[in-house]
Amino acid sequence: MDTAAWRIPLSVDALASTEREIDAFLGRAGVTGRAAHVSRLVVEEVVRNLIAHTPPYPDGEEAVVTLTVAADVVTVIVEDGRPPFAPTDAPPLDIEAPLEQRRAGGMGLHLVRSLTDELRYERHAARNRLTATIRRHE
Amino acid sequence: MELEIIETEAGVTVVALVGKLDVDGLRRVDVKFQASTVARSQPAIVDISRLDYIASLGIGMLIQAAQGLQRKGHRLVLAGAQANVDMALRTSGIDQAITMVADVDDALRVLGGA
Repeated sequence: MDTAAWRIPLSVDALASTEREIDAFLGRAGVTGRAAHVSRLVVEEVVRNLIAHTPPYPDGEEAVVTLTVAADVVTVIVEDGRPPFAPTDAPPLDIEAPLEQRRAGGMGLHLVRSLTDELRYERHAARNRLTATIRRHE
Repeated sequence: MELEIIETEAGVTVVALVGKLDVDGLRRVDVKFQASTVARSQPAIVDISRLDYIASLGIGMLIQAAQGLQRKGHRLVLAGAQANVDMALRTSGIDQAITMVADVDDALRVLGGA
């Protein structure tokens, strides 16, 4: 089992550089294809949602991302100290809307909910904790 | 992340997105992508056969370009999505809003340019 964790300051620059490190970690751990794509997507969407939708931030605030690669699954945990927010309860996306009614945003959490095999939100000790499980083999 | 611009003789813009359209990739190509598609005011084909990764930010970039062209009376067609990119696009319902085809030749046929 391979595990790695990152403390990501809530900024786009920090997220961008962390994504490259996550990519490298998944590659070293032998995670490819759908599982790699979805694992990375979960981190990008959840952390970017924190950056975009819950400002302002005290200096030094960060998200903690932990990836664990087991034989059958990748587990992604994102923890933050922002006010309570359950991505599992985000409003649904109308995926049948015509082009002129589409928004460029609002799709991220829909993707996370739809593409993960299990998604669990917990609030504990004044922190949000989102656990996503992605099967490695379809 | 790179954007390659290929102009065809049929009055159709063809651009290729190459690499990972993540947070960093989007910053590298977004302005150039909109300028290469919407600003040219003609039908556009986006070759995504060498696009390795996309999430909602990148999908939003495609929606903005397609909407910009739609307002000018033109279409944007996506061509050649790899399996994981195809999965992300279809999961967000983009195939309901933007035509997706197997390759650039098919896209030219859809746009009537071949």
